[in-house]
Amino acid sequence: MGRDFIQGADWAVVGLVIVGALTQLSAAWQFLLVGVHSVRNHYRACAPVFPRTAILIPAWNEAAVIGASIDRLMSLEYPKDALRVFLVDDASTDQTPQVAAAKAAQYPGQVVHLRREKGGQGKAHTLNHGLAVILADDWMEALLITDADVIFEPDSLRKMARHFADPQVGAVTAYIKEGSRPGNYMTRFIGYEYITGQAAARRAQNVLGALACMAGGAQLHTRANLVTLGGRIDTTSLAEDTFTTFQTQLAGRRVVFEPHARVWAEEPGSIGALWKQRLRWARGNVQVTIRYRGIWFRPRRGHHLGGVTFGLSWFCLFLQPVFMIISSAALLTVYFTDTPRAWLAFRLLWNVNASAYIFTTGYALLIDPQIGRHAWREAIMFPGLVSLAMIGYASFPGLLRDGLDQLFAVTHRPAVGPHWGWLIVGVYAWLTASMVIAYLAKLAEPTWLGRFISPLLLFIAGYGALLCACTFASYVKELRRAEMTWDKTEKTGKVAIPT
Amino acid sequence: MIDQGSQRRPAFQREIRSALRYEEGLVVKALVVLIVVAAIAILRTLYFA
Repeated sequence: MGRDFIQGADWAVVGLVIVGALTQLSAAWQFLLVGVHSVRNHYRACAPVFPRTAILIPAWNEAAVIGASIDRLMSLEYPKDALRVFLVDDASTDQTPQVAAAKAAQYPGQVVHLRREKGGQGKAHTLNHGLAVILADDWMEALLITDADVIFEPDSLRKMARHFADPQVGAVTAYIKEGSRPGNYMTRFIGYEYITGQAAARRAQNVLGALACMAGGAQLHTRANLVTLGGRIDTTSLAEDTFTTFQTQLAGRRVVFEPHARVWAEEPGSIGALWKQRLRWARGNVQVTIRYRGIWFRPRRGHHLGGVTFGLSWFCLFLQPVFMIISSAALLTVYFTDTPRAWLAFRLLWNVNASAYIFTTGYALLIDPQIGRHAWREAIMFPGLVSLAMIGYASFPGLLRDGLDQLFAVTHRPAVGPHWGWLIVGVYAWLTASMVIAYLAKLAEPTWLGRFISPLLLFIAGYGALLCACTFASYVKELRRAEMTWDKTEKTGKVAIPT
Repeated sequence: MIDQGSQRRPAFQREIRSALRYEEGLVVKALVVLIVVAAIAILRTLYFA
């Protein structure tokens, strides 16, 4: 009996190794749901409606981009008498007030310039300043929240508004695409990530009837929804977009993702800038997870946020760093206690990862071929060189039998040299080590060698590992109750709609 | 709410049909990628395992 128990415990540890593939499996499941979007969507409830729409733009030192943004918004395919732009200038110190005043003069009655004399409190406070003014007048029937640099394709607002023909819909969000031209490796990574995180995941969430987060730069609300939310955006967290999304659904209204309403935004072009942005988002997700702890995995009438599938996809992403650490620790435990079984567990883990990777990457590139053509290299390199080598080896071990396989076979012999032993430990610990290397890439970037070393380290560790390291850092920041600072992503106006 | 349904409905219907066609195309693309994954798995099992 004692032996059975020990054997059972061994297999349980092997099971823990597979935890490292849960996020990839969850992603693959969501990609499968994308196919269901052709039959489970909101299009049948749509009609050509054009609510009077106030466009709310929070702006801090946006002189470089705000003028062109307002011009583009005023030329949207939308009835001109049903559009007004409210620019909330968050105590800018550049030429933003002058540009805004010039645009207000150019579009009299259609562009309103509001100014906060004391700024820097964060986007939610700036939005609330504008919301108070807009809601005081009963002209507005819908409110579009966007950012100063976001470029809306001409038909995008019209395509979002058509969902409001259904009174159950409280808000609609668009598909934000990375539009920096010429971009760099980082913006291309983000471009690809947005296919997976928006074009694919949000279609799947449409199918599930529960949306995790509206894009901060493209969310259209009905007036009724904003009134239900108390006429204010949550200011107590770093994830006001996610809070608004959850509050809307908890109030019994539906939030819809409209993948054919496309908007373009400038995203961070360096590891440091990405880290600041994603740390804020990840901390916000920690806050959302805790604040709404009562809803997870508890299906209710009126909303689908408590659905099991939605909860699994949320936690698989939220806990990905934990899963990676558990998987590595379990693999090393099996290695030091039962070497042959470690090899089996390793191959099982990477076979699952390989299948999920090939499916999600191949499908993502086909979901949005325009971005796919631009960022296919980064799509392939998303897991990093080392993980790719493991995926390749797990998929075709026979092809590499004379190389890696021999190496692994040698290292599993009892009389193994110390160097090979450490190599195998490194390989088995890779899921955790990749996060450390990605973090090193972030640390190295500001140094004089960083320009060369950081991208190299990132390509070795993988963009996914960088996001995991960032999520892990968010746990630490939240546990330490670190101050919540609003680090605005720097915008340079290099975004353009590709032709 | 401005409802310009009557004059815009044909264009609107075209857009909805186009969106639905795109979504249906995604089902075909998913099947193609799944077939590729299955082919790789079979190749691997038969020849490279």
